Parts: sequence; structure tokens; C-alpha cells
Amino acid sequence: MRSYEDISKRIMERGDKLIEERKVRAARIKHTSYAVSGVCAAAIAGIGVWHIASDIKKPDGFRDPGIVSVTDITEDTAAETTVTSDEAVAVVTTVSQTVTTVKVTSVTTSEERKETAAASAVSVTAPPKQTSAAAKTTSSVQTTAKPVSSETASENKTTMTDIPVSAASTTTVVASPVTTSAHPSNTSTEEHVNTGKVNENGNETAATTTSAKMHGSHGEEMGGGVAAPPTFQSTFGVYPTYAVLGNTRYEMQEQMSGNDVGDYISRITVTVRVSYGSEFTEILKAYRAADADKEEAVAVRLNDTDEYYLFRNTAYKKENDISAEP
Amino acid sequence: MDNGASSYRRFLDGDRNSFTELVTEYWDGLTLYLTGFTDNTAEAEEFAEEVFLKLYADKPDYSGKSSFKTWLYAVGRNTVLNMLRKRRKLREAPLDDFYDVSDREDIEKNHIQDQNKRQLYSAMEKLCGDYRQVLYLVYFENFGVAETAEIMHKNERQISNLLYRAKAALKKKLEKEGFEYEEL
Repeated sequence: MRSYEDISKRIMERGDKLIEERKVRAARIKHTSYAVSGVCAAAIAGIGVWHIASDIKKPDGFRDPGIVSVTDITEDTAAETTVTSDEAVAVVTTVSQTVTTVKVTSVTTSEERKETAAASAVSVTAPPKQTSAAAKTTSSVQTTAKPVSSETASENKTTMTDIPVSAASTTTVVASPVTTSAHPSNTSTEEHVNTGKVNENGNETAATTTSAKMHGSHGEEMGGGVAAPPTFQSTFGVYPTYAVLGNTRYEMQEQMSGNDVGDYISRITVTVRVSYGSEFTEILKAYRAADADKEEAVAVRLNDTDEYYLFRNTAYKKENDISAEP
Repeated sequence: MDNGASSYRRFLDGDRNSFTELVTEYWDGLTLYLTGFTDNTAEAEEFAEEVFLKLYADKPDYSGKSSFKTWLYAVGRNTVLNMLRKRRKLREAPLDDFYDVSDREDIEKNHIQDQNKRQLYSAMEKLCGDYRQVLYLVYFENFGVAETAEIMHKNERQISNLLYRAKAALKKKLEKEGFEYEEL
């Protein structure tokens, strides 16, 4: 017969062994859980990075020297700054003024500050409007507009737009259709202002307001007079525009005189890329550009107009250039 | 607080000798009680060892609502029932393992001092488990009906009925074997 001491000793030995096993098992579980949680954290981080990376839009790779700037302006008119005029006044101005144009290859439109000053000798007063394109901007717009004849106003109105662009000093003359209408307070105005296409001759500068939408307090869209959905005609030349003829791609350069246009070549596909995934395409007529090879540049005529635009193949190199390369 | 409770408190505080005191004091009684769950004395000792191992390793809380002995026997009953539930088939153990297993006579002699009670306990072998348990707890361990009910997880009325039927069955067995015992 075993003594009680023997029994007690045996039980305590078994108990110590059992407690040790439990400690080892707990430590193993703890280490395993640490490793698994680390792997899970890494997996979550990887998935997150992958999602973010997929959201970043890749540049499509083509250069567009014709871009000047595109600015989205969002305005919220406060209750005190209700626009009082209920008449829409559209003023299209043609200014004869020499404009120095700097060729801007790319313009960052993320955050711009645009100041527009309008002075009118005939009782049209447009105080300086300051808008910031960053996110949503609240600004007060006060416009006192009197019904004036567009002919009178077009002689004297000068609108200056200064766009601080990195490494480029650009003076543009903007003649934008001004739309003023009376709306209840708490209205928000979405206005897309394109500060223009500047031609190198400096004779004319045209700017197009691509869209102007006003939303009421209940979110309904209110008519803005000249607001219209973007079309190929309205976005042509404003947004990156290119043409494809066969396997050759041409980038839009500038408007050209009809005297420099040669023989008819064929029809050409012209595409205006408004944004990523949104573009307008139309078939236009392509002509030879004077003093330029067909592979180098073509002249494209806008449908139903007599306007010709020069499209240049930026990847084109003359034979002399090719032979001069090492 | 009885001695068992104080010993258990000291064991929980880290005194290993107190555990030996607990084994010394309750080993035989618990083993004889657990014999009610099995006819094998060696297996009853194995059950008792598992019960004390549970006390040593798990250190269950003793609240003090009942006596320590009652609590220990209840823990023993639950442990044995769990073991029997898990262990469907008995392990085949070599005879050498039972070389140092206590003889039942020794356990009875150590724990039941009264000669008549020892003979009576030996006579209870042929009764069923519940009858043996209730007779042992009430007449050998001197538990009351309430404590017996707590240990066996039954109510007092069930224990009273069980005790009555156990005594009748034991009396019938003893009369059948020609055993005469006046106090029965």
C-alpha cells in the first residue's frame, strides 16, 4: 500500500507536469496568434495599398501642348449676396490687343487663384471676382448689370485674367458670356471657366464657358441662360484634342489661315478628351498643311465652318534629324 | 472553517505541505465514496487521484457555502462523472500497474474503524451505485440529508426516498444471506 506522502508526491508531480504543459501550450498559442495577427495586418495593408493604387489614374502618355488651363469654380452665394438682376446679359467681346502667348505644355489646375477684373465705361460694372478652385469655395458675387447693347459693350469692355502658372506668364483676354439671374438664397453655382485658347498671332482671343449650372437649395438645376451640355464643338480645342489618321496621331496646335491649307487628304477622326473616360469624337476633313509633309502635320477643317486647325504629329522627325542622331 | 478548508487555503497560498495534509485526511473517504461509481477499487483510487489532481492543477474556488468535505465530494462526483462520460471503454492496463494499488481491506480498515461498519460496508457491494453512495455518505461519512443531496446533486426528498429504498434493499440482502444485525 502506498503511503499518503507517495500519493501526494505523485499527484504533485503530475500536476506540475500538467501546469508546465499548459504554460507551453499558452506560450505557443500566444506566439502563433502574434504571427497570424502580423500576417493579417500585412495582408490588410497590402490590400489597402492595392486598392489605393488601382484608384490612381494612370497618365495616358500623350503630350498636349495646347492646354492652357481648365478651372472649375464652385460658388455658394450667401443670403446677403443674392444676385438681383433677373436679366441675362451675354457679352461677347472682341478685343484688338497684342497678346503675348507663352506655349504652355502642361498646366497644373489643382489649385489656382484667378482674379478677374472687369471695367466698363458704359454702365456695366463688374467688381473683381475672386475665386479659389480648391474644393468648394464660398465667395460673394455682386453684379450690377444693366441691359446694354452688346455692340456698345463690346467696344470698351476689357476683362483681364491673371493665372499664376508656374514658369509661364500668360496674359489672356477673356470674353466670357456672363450670365446673371435671380435665384433664391443658398444657391450654389457651378461654373466651368476655361481661360482660353490663345492664338499666337494675338489678334483674337476667345474663351468659352463650357458649362454653368446653378443649383437651388433643393438641389434642382436652374437654368443659366447660356448653360448647355458640353458638345464636341464647345470642347474642341479647349480640352486636349487629337486626331488619328491611319496609324498616325496628331496633336492639335492652333488655328490656321485658310490660305495655308492644301489639298484634301481624307476624312480624319478627331477626339476631344474632356476627362478620363469622357471624350467626344467626330469625323472631320483633313487637308494638307502648307510646307509640311502629310506625316508631319495636317490641317483639319471644322464641320460647317471655314475654320482650319493645324494638327501636328509630335513624334515626327525629319530625315535630317534622324541622320543627325548618334 | 474546518481543517480541510484551512489546509486548502494554505495550499492556494503556495504551501505544498498543506496539499499532503488534504490527501492524508480525505484520500480514503473519497476513494470509498467513489467506489460507488465503480466496482473496481483501483479505478476508484484512480478517480480519487484525478480529483486531487484537479485540485492541484486547476485550483477551483472554494466559496465556503458548505463544508469543505461536502464541496470536495461534490467535486469528486462531478470529476468522476466527466471521466466516465469521456472514457467510454476502459483501458486495458497491465497487472504490474496494480502492484502498489491499495487493498480494499486496508482502505476500509484505515477509514472505517468500527468492525461492524466494515462488515456492513462489505455487504453493500451487491447494491447498486446510488444505494451504496447514499448509505456510505449518510451512515459512514455522517453527512446529513441536505449535504448528501448537495453532493449527489439531488433534492432532499429524493435523498430520503433513495435512503429508504437503499436500506430496504440492504436489509433484504442481509436477510437473504442470514446476516443478523440488530441496529439495521
